[in-house]
Amino acid sequence: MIGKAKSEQAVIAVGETASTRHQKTLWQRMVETRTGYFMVLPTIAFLLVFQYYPAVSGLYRSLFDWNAGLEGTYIGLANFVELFTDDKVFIRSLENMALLTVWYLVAFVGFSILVAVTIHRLRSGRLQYAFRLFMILPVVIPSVVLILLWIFIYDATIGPLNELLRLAGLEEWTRAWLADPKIAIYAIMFRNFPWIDGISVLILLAGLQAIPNEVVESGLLDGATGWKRLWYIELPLVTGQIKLLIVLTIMWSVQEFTSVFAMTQGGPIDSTQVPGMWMYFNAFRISRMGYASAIGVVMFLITLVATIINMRYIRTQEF
Amino acid sequence: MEQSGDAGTISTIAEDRSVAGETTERRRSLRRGDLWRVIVLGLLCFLMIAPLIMAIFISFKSPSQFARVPFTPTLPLRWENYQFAGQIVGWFILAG
Repeated sequence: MIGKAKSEQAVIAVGETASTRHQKTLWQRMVETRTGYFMVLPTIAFLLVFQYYPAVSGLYRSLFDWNAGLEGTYIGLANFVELFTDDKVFIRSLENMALLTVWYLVAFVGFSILVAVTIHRLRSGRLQYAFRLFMILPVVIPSVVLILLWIFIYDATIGPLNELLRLAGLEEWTRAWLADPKIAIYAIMFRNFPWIDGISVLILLAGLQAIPNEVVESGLLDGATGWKRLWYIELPLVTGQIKLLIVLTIMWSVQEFTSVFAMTQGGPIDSTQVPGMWMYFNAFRISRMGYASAIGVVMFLITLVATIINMRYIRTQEF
Repeated sequence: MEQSGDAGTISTIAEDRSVAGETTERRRSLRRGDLWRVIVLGLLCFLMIAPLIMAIFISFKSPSQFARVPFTPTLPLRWENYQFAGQIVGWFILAG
């Protein structure tokens, strides 16, 4: 009896708290939970100063003819007009960016899916673990080291690639891979062969392992084996992970800079120029900071549009 | 009652045996299925790790050793490369 009364009181108390909380203003609630706000305050302050301020400042500065260290002159959208009407290098860089983005999506997302599915279908748990480990192992190598190794692999005189071609009797195929304007962009694309990204494989494997056994088993009973199992069961159920990888790969491709900077610096004759490299060149080599900011804004808009399209048209399935 | 129990036991054993046979057969076919997966994944892993191995080989070479034999290990191992790299990296990691 006493217990029942107590529980009734508790219910009333909870009801009251909920209703009073509902009546309180946002400010009152913030004052009540001020400790939490104080805890996140430093992070928010750093984010605003070091992340948001430079980004917003870049948007603003793209409307100026501004050389570093000098006063800027407001010129409206002239930087953007020049980019799309008078800057052939920028247009070339956009073409290269599109090529790289498509390739990275096919290579890094597509091949990672195939590898993740192959590992997932291994019956032996030990083998699964071993291959997972080997896939993630190259991640520990700094990307610049890998790029330097690929510069060595492509070397015209002592590079292993030309050496292999000579051994195979294909001497006429040998060339200076990074110095030939027609080939250089493909050499950049081909780097990091076999193009498997360990992190992507891990993300996809986690998704595949989360698919309930019942779903797979009922599919198998209905005759969904091999490719059918991949196409009708596994892929639809890891759409969330694929969507994430697509967004990350697009962002990464649009912002591509490191490999081009280390391998060719945009050359020869701007054949491997990408927007990130062209932005760097304008900002720090010829001090056109306003123009470089405009390139940054275009890159931001491309990423934004691609992400929105991805979020809108690729539907995530739940199980 | 006892007899039917015996019959039940016998049929269960027979079923077990057939299931066991099926399972072994299944396992064999699965292993066969696994074989190509292991070969493909092994090859991919080798290709992914090859640059790392190459970097380790090169890290022990002097410029002349590298010029003569760039791909395979050469003796004597040049440990001075690490000493030198340690000095340079130390400036940045330990800030002087």
